[in-house]
Amino acid sequence: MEILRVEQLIKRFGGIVAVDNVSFTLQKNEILGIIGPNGAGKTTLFSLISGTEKPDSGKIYLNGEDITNTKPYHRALKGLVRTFQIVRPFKSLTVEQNLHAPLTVRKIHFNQEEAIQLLKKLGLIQKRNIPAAYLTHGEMKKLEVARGLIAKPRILMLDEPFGGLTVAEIGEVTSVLREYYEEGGTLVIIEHRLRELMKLIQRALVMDQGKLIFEGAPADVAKSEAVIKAYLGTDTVI
Amino acid sequence: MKRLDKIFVVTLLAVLAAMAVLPIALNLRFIIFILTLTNIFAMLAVSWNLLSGYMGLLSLGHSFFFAGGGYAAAILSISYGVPPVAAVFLGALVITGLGSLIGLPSLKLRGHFFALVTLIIPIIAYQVTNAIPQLGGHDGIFGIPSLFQSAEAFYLASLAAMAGSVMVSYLVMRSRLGIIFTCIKDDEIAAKAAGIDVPRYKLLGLAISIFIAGVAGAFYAYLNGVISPATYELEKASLPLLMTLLGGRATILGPVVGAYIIEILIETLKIEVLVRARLLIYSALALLIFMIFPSGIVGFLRRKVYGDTAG
Ligand SMILES: Nc1ncnc2c1ncn2[C@@H]1O[C@H](COP(=O)(O)OP(=O)(O)OP(=O)(O)O)[C@@H](O)[C@H]1O
Ligand SMILES: [Mg+2]
Repeated sequence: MEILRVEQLIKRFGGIVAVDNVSFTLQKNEILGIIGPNGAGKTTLFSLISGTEKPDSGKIYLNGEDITNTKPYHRALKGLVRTFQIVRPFKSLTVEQNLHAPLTVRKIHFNQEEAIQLLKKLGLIQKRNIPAAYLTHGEMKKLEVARGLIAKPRILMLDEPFGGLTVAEIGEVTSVLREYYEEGGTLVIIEHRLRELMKLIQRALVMDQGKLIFEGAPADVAKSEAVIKAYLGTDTVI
Repeated sequence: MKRLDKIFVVTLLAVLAAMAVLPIALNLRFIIFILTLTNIFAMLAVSWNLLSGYMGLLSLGHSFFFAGGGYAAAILSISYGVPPVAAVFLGALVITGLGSLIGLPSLKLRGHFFALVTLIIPIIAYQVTNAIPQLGGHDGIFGIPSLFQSAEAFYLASLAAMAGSVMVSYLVMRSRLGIIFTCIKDDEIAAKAAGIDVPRYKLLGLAISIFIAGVAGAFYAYLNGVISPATYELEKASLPLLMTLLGGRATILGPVVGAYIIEILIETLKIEVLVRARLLIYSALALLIFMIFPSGIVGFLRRKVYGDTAG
Protein backbone atom coordinates (compact mmCIF):
# COMPACT_ATOMS: atom_id res chain seq x y z
CA MET A 1 0.00 0.00 0.00
CA GLU A 2 1.36 3.41 -0.96
CA ILE A 3 1.90 5.64 2.08
CA LEU A 4 3.98 8.52 0.68
CA ARG A 5 4.15 10.01 -2.80
CA VAL A 6 6.56 12.71 -3.87
CA GLU A 7 5.98 14.32 -7.27
CA GLN A 8 8.51 16.40 -9.19
CA LEU A 9 9.95 18.22 -6.21
CA ILE A 10 12.25 21.13 -7.02
CA LYS A 11 14.17 23.24 -4.52
CA ARG A 12 16.67 25.94 -5.44
CA PHE A 13 19.06 27.75 -3.14
CA GLY A 14 20.20 30.81 -5.05
CA GLY A 15 21.98 29.44 -8.12
CA ILE A 16 22.08 25.78 -7.20
CA VAL A 17 19.27 23.28 -7.62
CA ALA A 18 19.51 21.25 -4.41
CA VAL A 19 16.58 19.00 -5.33
CA ASP A 20 15.96 18.69 -9.05
CA ASN A 21 12.65 17.19 -10.13
CA VAL A 22 12.60 14.26 -7.74
CA SER A 23 9.66 11.82 -7.70
CA PHE A 24 9.28 8.56 -5.80
CA THR A 25 6.77 6.59 -3.78
CA LEU A 26 7.06 4.74 -0.51
CA GLN A 27 5.09 1.63 0.46
CA LYS A 28 3.77 0.97 3.93
CA ASN A 29 6.11 -1.23 5.99
CA GLU A 30 9.04 -0.74 3.64
CA ILE A 31 12.64 0.26 4.40
CA LEU A 32 13.96 2.66 1.78
CA GLY A 33 17.57 3.84 1.68
CA ILE A 34 18.71 7.12 0.14
CA ILE A 35 22.37 7.49 -0.72
CA GLY A 36 24.49 9.85 -2.77
CA PRO A 37 27.71 11.88 -2.53
CA ASN A 38 28.01 14.93 -0.27
CA GLY A 39 25.80 17.79 -1.38
CA ALA A 40 23.59 15.52 -3.50
CA GLY A 41 20.45 17.00 -1.94
CA LYS A 42 19.43 14.16 0.38
CA THR A 43 18.95 16.29 3.49
CA THR A 44 17.13 18.96 1.49
CA LEU A 45 14.76 16.27 0.20
CA PHE A 46 14.00 15.31 3.84
CA SER A 47 13.47 18.95 4.73
CA LEU A 48 10.95 19.30 1.91
CA ILE A 49 9.09 16.15 2.94
CA SER A 50 9.04 17.10 6.64
CA GLY A 51 8.07 20.70 5.85
CA THR A 52 11.18 22.37 7.26
CA GLU A 53 11.77 23.81 3.76
CA LYS A 54 9.16 24.76 1.16
CA PRO A 55 9.59 23.36 -2.36
CA ASP A 56 9.68 25.75 -5.34
CA SER A 57 7.39 23.30 -7.10
CA GLY A 58 6.11 19.76 -6.79
CA LYS A 59 3.69 17.91 -4.55
CA ILE A 60 3.84 15.67 -1.50
CA TYR A 61 1.04 13.25 -0.58
CA LEU A 62 0.75 11.38 2.70
CA ASN A 63 -1.80 8.56 2.49
CA GLY A 64 -3.25 10.24 -0.57
CA GLU A 65 -3.68 13.59 1.19
CA ASP A 66 -1.86 16.58 -0.30
CA ILE A 67 0.36 17.89 2.50
CA THR A 68 2.58 20.13 0.35
CA ASN A 69 1.44 23.31 2.07
CA THR A 70 1.03 22.06 5.62
CA LYS A 71 3.26 23.07 8.52
CA PRO A 72 6.06 20.87 9.89
CA TYR A 73 4.35 20.31 13.25
CA HIS A 74 1.19 19.26 11.44
CA ARG A 75 3.08 16.65 9.41
CA ALA A 76 4.75 15.36 12.57
CA LEU A 77 1.37 14.98 14.25
CA LYS A 78 0.18 13.04 11.19
CA GLY A 79 2.95 10.56 11.83
CA LEU A 80 5.56 11.82 9.36
CA VAL A 81 8.58 12.17 11.62
CA ARG A 82 12.21 12.98 10.83
CA THR A 83 15.54 13.08 12.63
CA PHE A 84 18.35 15.52 11.93
CA GLN A 85 21.77 14.88 10.46
CA ILE A 86 23.17 17.60 12.71
CA VAL A 87 21.64 16.58 16.02
CA ARG A 88 19.06 18.81 17.64
CA PRO A 89 18.47 17.53 21.18
CA PHE A 90 16.45 19.56 23.68
CA LYS A 91 19.56 20.39 25.64
CA SER A 92 18.10 21.53 28.93
CA LEU A 93 15.73 18.57 29.14
CA THR A 94 16.98 15.27 30.50
CA VAL A 95 17.33 12.30 28.17
CA GLU A 96 14.05 10.90 29.46
CA GLN A 97 12.26 14.24 29.13
CA ASN A 98 13.45 14.42 25.53
CA LEU A 99 11.31 11.34 24.92
CA HIS A 100 8.48 12.89 26.88
CA ALA A 101 8.22 15.85 24.51
CA PRO A 102 6.88 14.20 21.32
CA LEU A 103 4.31 12.30 23.41
CA THR A 104 3.12 15.19 25.50
CA VAL A 105 2.19 17.29 22.46
CA ARG A 106 0.19 14.37 21.11
CA LYS A 107 -1.45 14.04 24.53
CA ILE A 108 -0.27 10.44 24.55
CA HIS A 109 0.32 9.06 28.02
CA PHE A 110 4.03 8.76 28.76
CA ASN A 111 4.70 5.08 29.31
CA GLN A 112 7.86 5.26 31.38
CA GLU A 113 8.52 1.54 31.21
CA GLU A 114 8.52 1.68 27.41
CA ALA A 115 10.85 4.66 27.38
CA ILE A 116 13.21 2.88 29.75
CA GLN A 117 13.23 -0.21 27.53
CA LEU A 118 14.08 1.90 24.49
CA LEU A 119 16.88 3.70 26.35
CA LYS A 120 18.25 0.34 27.52
CA LYS A 121 18.35 -1.03 24.00
CA LEU A 122 20.21 2.06 22.82
CA GLY A 123 22.69 2.02 25.71
CA LEU A 124 21.40 5.35 27.04
CA ILE A 125 19.82 4.13 30.26
CA GLN A 126 22.65 5.36 32.50
CA LYS A 127 22.19 8.86 31.09
CA ARG A 128 18.43 8.88 31.62
CA ASN A 129 18.30 11.73 34.15
CA ILE A 130 21.08 13.83 32.68
CA PRO A 131 20.38 16.94 30.60
CA ALA A 132 20.96 16.12 26.94
CA ALA A 133 23.56 18.89 26.76
CA TYR A 134 26.00 16.62 28.59
CA LEU A 135 25.78 13.69 26.16
CA THR A 136 28.57 12.71 23.80
CA HIS A 137 27.93 13.18 20.09
CA GLY A 138 27.21 9.48 19.60
CA GLU A 139 24.73 9.49 22.47
CA MET A 140 22.97 12.54 21.02
CA LYS A 141 22.75 10.74 17.70
CA LYS A 142 21.08 7.78 19.41
CA LEU A 143 18.78 10.05 21.39
CA GLU A 144 17.72 11.56 18.06
CA VAL A 145 16.65 8.08 16.91
CA ALA A 146 14.91 7.34 20.22
CA ARG A 147 12.99 10.62 20.06
CA GLY A 148 11.90 9.76 16.52
CA LEU A 149 10.71 6.29 17.49
CA ILE A 150 8.97 7.00 20.78
CA ALA A 151 5.68 8.30 19.36
CA LYS A 152 5.42 5.34 16.95
CA PRO A 153 5.39 7.38 13.73
CA ARG A 154 3.79 6.09 10.57
CA ILE A 155 6.94 6.98 8.65
CA LEU A 156 10.29 7.61 10.29
CA MET A 157 12.86 9.45 8.18
CA LEU A 158 16.39 9.15 9.55
CA ASP A 159 19.17 11.44 8.34
CA GLU A 160 22.48 9.62 8.79
CA PRO A 161 21.53 7.76 11.99
CA PHE A 162 24.91 5.95 11.99
CA GLY A 163 27.01 9.10 11.56
CA GLY A 164 29.87 9.10 14.08
CA LEU A 165 28.72 5.91 15.80
CA THR A 166 30.92 2.94 16.70
CA VAL A 167 30.17 -0.44 15.15
CA ALA A 168 28.61 -1.58 18.43
CA GLU A 169 26.38 1.49 18.53
CA ILE A 170 25.32 0.97 14.92
CA GLY A 171 24.28 -2.52 16.02
CA GLU A 172 22.10 -1.04 18.79
CA VAL A 173 20.43 1.43 16.44
CA THR A 174 19.91 -1.19 13.73
CA SER A 175 18.18 -3.57 16.11
CA VAL A 176 15.68 -0.98 17.42
CA LEU A 177 14.93 0.03 13.82
CA ARG A 178 14.39 -3.61 12.84
CA GLU A 179 12.02 -4.02 15.76
CA TYR A 180 10.01 -0.97 14.72
CA TYR A 181 9.90 -2.34 11.17
CA GLU A 182 8.73 -5.75 12.35
CA GLU A 183 5.89 -4.06 14.24
CA GLY A 184 4.72 -2.58 10.93
CA GLY A 185 6.82 0.59 10.79
CA THR A 186 8.01 2.33 7.63
CA LEU A 187 11.53 3.74 7.32
CA VAL A 188 13.45 6.06 5.02
CA ILE A 189 17.15 6.18 5.84
CA ILE A 190 19.87 8.48 4.50
CA GLU A 191 23.32 7.00 5.12
CA HIS A 192 26.93 7.15 4.01
CA ARG A 193 27.78 3.92 5.85
CA LEU A 194 26.76 1.81 2.88
CA ARG A 195 27.77 -1.61 4.15
CA GLU A 196 25.60 -1.29 7.27
CA LEU A 197 22.78 0.37 5.34
CA MET A 198 22.52 -2.17 2.52
CA LYS A 199 21.91 -4.97 5.03
CA LEU A 200 18.91 -3.10 6.40
CA ILE A 201 17.09 -1.71 3.37
CA GLN A 202 14.83 -3.29 0.75
CA ARG A 203 15.10 -0.61 -1.91
CA ALA A 204 17.61 2.14 -2.67
CA LEU A 205 17.43 5.60 -4.19
CA VAL A 206 20.63 7.28 -5.33
CA MET A 207 20.84 11.05 -5.69
CA ASP A 208 23.51 13.16 -7.34
CA GLN A 209 23.47 16.92 -7.84
CA GLY A 210 19.83 17.10 -6.87
CA LYS A 211 18.70 14.43 -9.32
CA LEU A 212 17.50 10.91 -8.73
CA ILE A 213 19.97 8.79 -10.72
CA PHE A 214 19.04 5.30 -9.57
CA GLU A 215 16.14 3.45 -8.06
CA GLY A 216 16.16 -0.29 -7.38
CA ALA A 217 17.38 -3.20 -5.32
CA PRO A 218 20.40 -2.61 -3.02
CA ALA A 219 22.29 -5.39 -4.82
CA ASP A 220 22.01 -3.54 -8.12
CA VAL A 221 23.30 -0.17 -6.88
CA ALA A 222 26.96 -1.00 -7.46
CA LYS A 223 26.19 -2.21 -10.99
CA SER A 224 24.76 1.10 -12.15
CA GLU A 225 26.99 3.12 -14.48
CA ALA A 226 25.46 6.39 -13.32
CA VAL A 227 26.06 5.58 -9.66
CA ILE A 228 29.67 4.56 -10.25
CA LYS A 229 30.24 7.81 -12.13
CA ALA A 230 28.62 9.87 -9.35
CA TYR A 231 30.82 8.33 -6.67
CA LEU A 232 34.00 8.58 -8.78
CA GLY A 233 36.67 10.51 -6.93
CA THR A 234 34.90 10.27 -3.55
CA ASP A 235 36.33 8.03 -0.87
CA THR A 236 33.13 6.02 -0.58
CA VAL A 237 33.38 2.44 -1.82
CA ILE A 238 30.14 1.14 -3.32
CA MET B 1 8.51 13.80 47.09
CA LYS B 2 12.17 13.58 47.90
CA ARG B 3 13.17 14.39 51.51
CA LEU B 4 15.14 17.39 50.37
CA ASP B 5 12.10 18.71 48.51
CA LYS B 6 9.90 18.29 51.59
CA ILE B 7 12.31 20.25 53.75
CA PHE B 8 12.39 22.87 51.02
CA VAL B 9 8.61 23.26 50.84
CA VAL B 10 8.24 23.43 54.63
CA THR B 11 10.97 26.06 54.87
CA LEU B 12 9.31 28.03 52.11
CA LEU B 13 5.94 28.02 53.86
CA ALA B 14 7.62 29.06 57.12
CA VAL B 15 9.34 31.97 55.39
CA LEU B 16 6.08 33.01 53.79
CA ALA B 17 4.28 32.89 57.14
CA ALA B 18 7.04 34.93 58.77
CA MET B 19 6.83 37.46 55.95
CA ALA B 20 3.09 37.72 56.50
CA VAL B 21 3.22 38.08 60.29
CA LEU B 22 6.45 39.81 61.27
CA PRO B 23 6.23 43.23 59.57
CA ILE B 24 2.66 43.63 60.83
CA ALA B 25 3.34 42.34 64.35
CA LEU B 26 6.31 44.66 64.68
CA ASN B 27 4.24 47.50 63.22
CA LEU B 28 6.89 48.52 60.70
CA ARG B 29 4.81 51.00 58.71
CA PHE B 30 7.50 52.27 56.34
CA ILE B 31 8.88 48.83 55.70
CA ILE B 32 5.42 47.50 54.92
CA PHE B 33 5.11 49.94 52.03
CA ILE B 34 8.51 48.94 50.65
CA LEU B 35 7.76 45.26 51.02
CA THR B 36 4.47 45.72 49.20
CA LEU B 37 6.34 47.40 46.36
CA THR B 38 8.89 44.60 46.40
CA ASN B 39 6.18 41.95 46.11
CA ILE B 40 4.78 43.81 43.13
CA PHE B 41 8.15 43.89 41.37
CA ALA B 42 8.76 40.27 42.31
CA MET B 43 5.52 39.43 40.50
CA LEU B 44 6.72 41.38 37.48
CA ALA B 45 10.01 39.46 37.60
CA VAL B 46 8.15 36.13 37.87
CA SER B 47 6.20 37.13 34.78
CA TRP B 48 9.37 38.06 32.87
CA ASN B 49 11.07 34.83 33.93
CA LEU B 50 8.23 32.72 32.55
CA LEU B 51 8.50 34.29 29.10
CA SER B 52 12.18 35.15 28.83
CA GLY B 53 13.77 32.75 31.32
CA TYR B 54 11.81 29.59 30.62
CA MET B 55 10.65 30.12 27.03
CA GLY B 56 13.66 32.07 25.81
CA LEU B 57 11.52 34.86 24.32
CA LEU B 58 13.47 37.93 25.34
CA SER B 59 11.16 40.74 26.42
CA LEU B 60 12.77 44.14 26.73
CA GLY B 61 9.43 45.88 27.21
CA HIS B 62 7.70 44.30 30.16
CA SER B 63 6.97 47.82 31.39
CA PHE B 64 4.29 47.97 28.70
CA PHE B 65 2.36 45.05 30.17
CA PHE B 66 2.95 46.37 33.68
CA ALA B 67 1.81 49.92 32.97
CA GLY B 68 -0.96 48.64 30.71
CA GLY B 69 -2.40 46.55 33.54
CA GLY B 70 -2.24 49.60 35.79
CA TYR B 71 -3.98 51.86 33.29
CA ALA B 72 -6.67 49.32 32.46
CA ALA B 73 -7.46 48.68 36.14
CA ALA B 74 -7.48 52.42 36.93
CA ILE B 75 -9.83 53.26 34.06
CA LEU B 76 -12.11 50.32 34.85
CA SER B 77 -12.50 51.35 38.47
CA ILE B 78 -12.73 55.13 37.93
CA SER B 79 -14.76 55.40 34.72
CA TYR B 80 -16.74 52.18 34.85
CA GLY B 81 -17.16 51.76 38.61
CA VAL B 82 -15.75 48.24 38.62
CA PRO B 83 -14.87 47.25 42.20
CA PRO B 84 -11.07 47.42 42.67
CA VAL B 85 -10.41 43.74 43.28
CA ALA B 86 -12.34 42.77 40.15
CA ALA B 87 -10.65 45.60 38.25
CA VAL B 88 -7.24 44.10 39.03
CA PHE B 89 -8.11 40.91 37.20
CA LEU B 90 -10.21 42.53 34.47
CA GLY B 91 -7.46 45.07 33.85
CA ALA B 92 -4.91 42.27 33.58
CA LEU B 93 -7.22 40.53 31.11
CA VAL B 94 -7.55 43.68 28.99
CA ILE B 95 -3.78 44.13 28.68
CA THR B 96 -3.39 40.39 28.05
CA GLY B 97 -5.69 40.70 25.07
CA LEU B 98 -4.06 43.85 23.77
CA GLY B 99 -0.50 42.66 24.38
CA SER B 100 -1.13 39.28 22.76
CA LEU B 101 -2.61 40.99 19.72
CA ILE B 102 0.44 43.22 19.36
CA GLY B 103 2.87 40.39 20.07
CA LEU B 104 1.24 37.84 17.77
CA PRO B 105 2.84 38.85 14.44
CA SER B 106 6.34 38.96 15.92
CA LEU B 107 5.96 35.51 17.48
CA LYS B 108 5.98 33.98 14.02
CA LEU B 109 9.30 35.63 13.24
CA ARG B 110 12.68 34.69 14.65
CA GLY B 111 13.44 35.39 18.29
CA HIS B 112 15.25 38.71 18.04
CA PHE B 113 12.33 40.32 16.20
CA PHE B 114 10.23 39.74 19.28
CA ALA B 115 12.87 41.40 21.46
CA LEU B 116 12.99 44.33 19.06
CA VAL B 117 9.22 44.74 19.02
CA THR B 118 9.02 44.64 22.81
CA LEU B 119 11.74 47.27 22.99
CA ILE B 120 9.79 49.67 20.80
CA ILE B 121 6.27 49.14 22.12
CA PRO B 122 6.68 50.91 25.50
CA ILE B 123 8.13 53.91 23.66
CA ILE B 124 5.13 54.09 21.36
CA ALA B 125 2.76 53.50 24.29
CA TYR B 126 4.43 56.36 26.15
CA GLN B 127 3.82 58.75 23.27
CA VAL B 128 0.28 57.55 22.66
CA THR B 129 -0.67 57.83 26.34
CA ASN B 130 0.86 61.27 26.51
CA ALA B 131 -1.28 62.40 23.61
CA ILE B 132 -4.63 61.03 24.75
CA PRO B 133 -6.46 63.18 27.35
CA GLN B 134 -8.83 60.30 28.21
CA LEU B 135 -5.76 58.44 29.47
CA GLY B 136 -4.74 61.40 31.58
CA GLY B 137 -2.08 62.63 29.16
CA HIS B 138 1.30 63.51 30.56
CA ASP B 139 0.11 63.72 34.16
CA GLY B 140 -1.53 60.33 34.16
CA ILE B 141 -4.61 59.21 36.05
CA PHE B 142 -5.10 60.47 39.61
CA GLY B 143 -7.32 59.51 42.50
CA ILE B 144 -7.36 55.81 41.88
CA PRO B 145 -9.43 54.40 44.77
CA SER B 146 -7.51 52.23 47.18
CA LEU B 147 -7.60 48.48 46.85
CA PHE B 148 -7.76 48.09 50.64
CA GLN B 149 -8.31 50.48 53.50
CA SER B 150 -5.25 49.48 55.49
CA ALA B 151 -1.66 49.24 54.37
CA GLU B 152 -1.44 45.92 56.17
CA ALA B 153 -4.27 44.40 54.16
CA PHE B 154 -2.66 45.70 50.96
CA TYR B 155 0.64 44.16 51.96
CA LEU B 156 -0.94 40.78 52.68
CA ALA B 157 -2.77 40.89 49.36
CA SER B 158 0.46 41.68 47.51
CA LEU B 159 2.19 38.83 49.30
CA ALA B 160 -0.63 36.46 48.38
CA ALA B 161 -0.63 37.61 44.76
CA MET B 162 3.14 37.24 44.55
CA ALA B 163 2.99 33.75 46.06
CA GLY B 164 0.14 32.99 43.66
CA SER B 165 2.23 34.02 40.66
CA VAL B 166 5.10 31.83 41.86
CA MET B 167 2.62 28.97 42.22
CA VAL B 168 1.31 29.55 38.70
CA SER B 169 4.77 29.50 37.18
CA TYR B 170 5.63 26.40 39.22
CA LEU B 171 2.51 24.57 38.08
CA VAL B 172 2.95 25.64 34.47
CA MET B 173 6.53 24.46 34.37
CA ARG B 174 5.65 21.16 36.08
CA SER B 175 2.87 20.44 33.59
CA ARG B 176 3.13 19.34 29.96
CA LEU B 177 3.35 23.02 29.07
CA GLY B 178 6.67 23.19 30.92
CA ILE B 179 8.18 20.55 28.66
CA ILE B 180 6.77 22.21 25.57
CA PHE B 181 8.04 25.66 26.60
CA THR B 182 11.50 24.24 27.27
CA CYS B 183 11.56 22.51 23.88
CA ILE B 184 10.74 25.82 22.22
CA LYS B 185 13.52 27.57 24.11
CA ASP B 186 16.08 24.87 23.32
CA ASP B 187 15.41 24.41 19.62
CA GLU B 188 12.43 25.70 17.67
CA ILE B 189 13.09 23.59 14.59
CA ALA B 190 13.37 20.41 16.63
CA ALA B 191 10.24 21.46 18.55
CA LYS B 192 8.29 21.75 15.31
CA ALA B 193 9.65 18.41 14.16
CA ALA B 194 8.44 16.91 17.43
CA GLY B 195 4.90 18.11 16.61
CA ILE B 196 4.78 21.35 18.58
CA ASP B 197 2.75 24.21 17.11
CA VAL B 198 5.39 26.73 18.12
CA PRO B 199 3.58 30.06 17.49
CA ARG B 200 0.51 28.82 19.33
CA TYR B 201 2.42 27.83 22.45
CA LYS B 202 4.48 31.01 22.33
CA LEU B 203 1.24 32.97 22.32
CA LEU B 204 -0.02 30.99 25.29
CA GLY B 205 3.20 31.63 27.21
CA LEU B 206 3.07 35.30 26.30
CA ALA B 207 -0.53 35.56 27.48
CA ILE B 208 0.20 33.95 30.85
CA SER B 209 3.22 36.21 31.30
CA ILE B 210 1.29 39.37 30.38
CA PHE B 211 -1.53 38.46 32.73
CA ILE B 212 0.83 38.22 35.70
CA ALA B 213 2.59 41.46 34.71
CA GLY B 214 -0.83 43.10 34.35
CA VAL B 215 -1.91 42.06 37.83
CA ALA B 216 1.38 43.43 39.19
CA GLY B 217 0.82 46.70 37.33
CA ALA B 218 -2.72 47.03 38.68
CA PHE B 219 -1.43 46.56 42.23
CA TYR B 220 1.19 49.20 41.50
CA ALA B 221 -1.44 51.70 40.33
CA TYR B 222 -3.59 51.09 43.40
CA LEU B 223 -0.61 51.32 45.73
CA ASN B 224 0.40 54.73 44.41
CA GLY B 225 -3.11 56.00 43.72
CA VAL B 226 -1.82 57.30 40.40
CA ILE B 227 -0.52 55.90 37.14
CA SER B 228 1.39 57.97 34.60
CA PRO B 229 3.26 57.41 31.34
CA ALA B 230 6.51 57.34 33.34
CA THR B 231 5.56 53.78 34.28
CA TYR B 232 6.43 52.74 30.72
CA GLU B 233 10.00 53.89 31.15
CA LEU B 234 13.04 51.77 30.53
CA GLU B 235 13.74 51.36 34.22
CA LYS B 236 10.55 49.37 34.76
CA ALA B 237 11.41 47.27 31.74
CA SER B 238 14.93 46.51 32.92
CA LEU B 239 14.09 45.87 36.59
CA PRO B 240 12.44 42.46 36.11
CA LEU B 241 15.27 41.48 33.81
CA LEU B 242 17.95 42.37 36.33
CA MET B 243 16.05 40.88 39.24
CA THR B 244 15.59 37.59 37.42
CA LEU B 245 19.15 37.39 36.15
CA LEU B 246 20.49 38.09 39.64
CA GLY B 247 18.17 35.61 41.35
CA GLY B 248 18.46 32.98 38.64
CA ARG B 249 16.58 32.79 35.37
CA ALA B 250 14.59 29.66 34.59
CA THR B 251 14.35 28.91 38.32
CA ILE B 252 11.09 29.17 40.24
CA LEU B 253 12.26 31.36 43.14
CA GLY B 254 15.06 33.23 41.39
CA PRO B 255 12.94 36.25 40.37
CA VAL B 256 11.63 36.69 43.93
CA VAL B 257 15.09 36.42 45.51
CA GLY B 258 16.45 38.89 42.96
CA ALA B 259 13.55 41.30 43.49
CA TYR B 260 14.07 41.37 47.25
CA ILE B 261 17.82 41.93 46.97
CA ILE B 262 17.55 44.70 44.39
CA GLU B 263 14.62 46.51 46.05
CA ILE B 264 16.37 46.43 49.43
CA LEU B 265 19.52 47.75 47.79
CA ILE B 266 17.60 50.56 46.12
CA GLU B 267 15.78 51.54 49.29
CA THR B 268 18.78 51.40 51.61
CA LEU B 269 21.03 53.27 49.20
CA LYS B 270 18.45 55.97 48.57
CA ILE B 271 20.94 58.78 48.34
CA GLU B 272 20.36 61.41 45.68
CA VAL B 273 23.63 60.68 43.89
CA LEU B 274 22.89 56.99 43.77
CA VAL B 275 19.40 57.57 42.49
CA ARG B 276 20.86 59.59 39.65
CA ALA B 277 23.43 56.91 38.99
CA ARG B 278 20.84 54.16 38.97
CA LEU B 279 21.37 53.10 35.38
CA LEU B 280 25.09 52.92 36.00
CA ILE B 281 24.55 50.79 39.08
CA TYR B 282 22.18 48.50 37.22
CA SER B 283 24.67 48.02 34.43
CA ALA B 284 27.46 47.27 36.88
CA LEU B 285 25.17 44.82 38.65
CA ALA B 286 24.33 43.14 35.35
CA LEU B 287 28.02 42.72 34.57
CA LEU B 288 28.67 41.30 38.02
CA ILE B 289 25.87 38.80 37.61
CA PHE B 290 27.25 37.56 34.33
CA MET B 291 30.73 37.23 35.79
CA ILE B 292 30.03 35.73 39.22
CA PHE B 293 26.61 34.10 39.03
CA PRO B 294 25.94 33.27 35.38
CA SER B 295 23.01 31.11 36.43
CA GLY B 296 21.86 33.45 39.20
CA ILE B 297 21.84 32.97 42.96
CA VAL B 298 19.18 30.24 43.00
CA GLY B 299 20.90 28.40 40.15
CA PHE B 300 24.18 28.68 42.06
CA LEU B 301 22.66 27.36 45.31
CA ARG B 302 20.82 24.59 43.53
CA ARG B 303 24.09 23.34 42.08
CA LYS B 304 25.62 23.42 45.57
CA VAL B 305 22.77 21.44 47.12
CA TYR B 306 21.70 19.05 44.37
CA GLY B 307 25.02 18.60 42.61
CA ASP B 308 26.01 19.67 39.16
CA THR B 309 23.36 18.22 36.91
CA ALA B 310 20.02 18.47 38.73
CA GLY B 311 17.25 19.71 36.44
N1 LIG C 1 19.78 26.34 3.56
C1 LIG C 1 20.58 26.27 2.49
N2 LIG C 1 20.97 27.40 1.86
C2 LIG C 1 21.77 27.33 0.78
N3 LIG C 1 22.23 26.21 0.26
C3 LIG C 1 21.86 25.05 0.83
C4 LIG C 1 21.03 25.02 1.97
N4 LIG C 1 20.84 23.72 2.34
C5 LIG C 1 21.53 23.00 1.46
N5 LIG C 1 22.15 23.78 0.56
C6 LIG C 1 22.94 23.30 -0.58
O1 LIG C 1 22.15 22.38 -1.27
C7 LIG C 1 22.94 21.28 -1.73
C8 LIG C 1 22.38 20.00 -1.17
O2 LIG C 1 22.65 19.96 0.23
P1 LIG C 1 22.15 18.78 1.16
O3 LIG C 1 22.49 19.14 2.53
O4 LIG C 1 20.71 18.50 0.87
O5 LIG C 1 23.03 17.59 0.65
P2 LIG C 1 23.21 16.14 1.28
O6 LIG C 1 22.98 15.17 0.17
O7 LIG C 1 22.40 15.97 2.48
O8 LIG C 1 24.76 16.14 1.64
P3 LIG C 1 25.53 15.41 2.83
O9 LIG C 1 25.68 13.99 2.43
O10 LIG C 1 26.84 16.10 2.88
O11 LIG C 1 24.72 15.58 4.06
C9 LIG C 1 24.37 21.58 -1.29
O12 LIG C 1 25.01 22.18 -2.37
C10 LIG C 1 24.18 22.55 -0.17
O13 LIG C 1 25.30 23.41 -0.09
MG1 LIG D 1 22.81 15.66 4.44
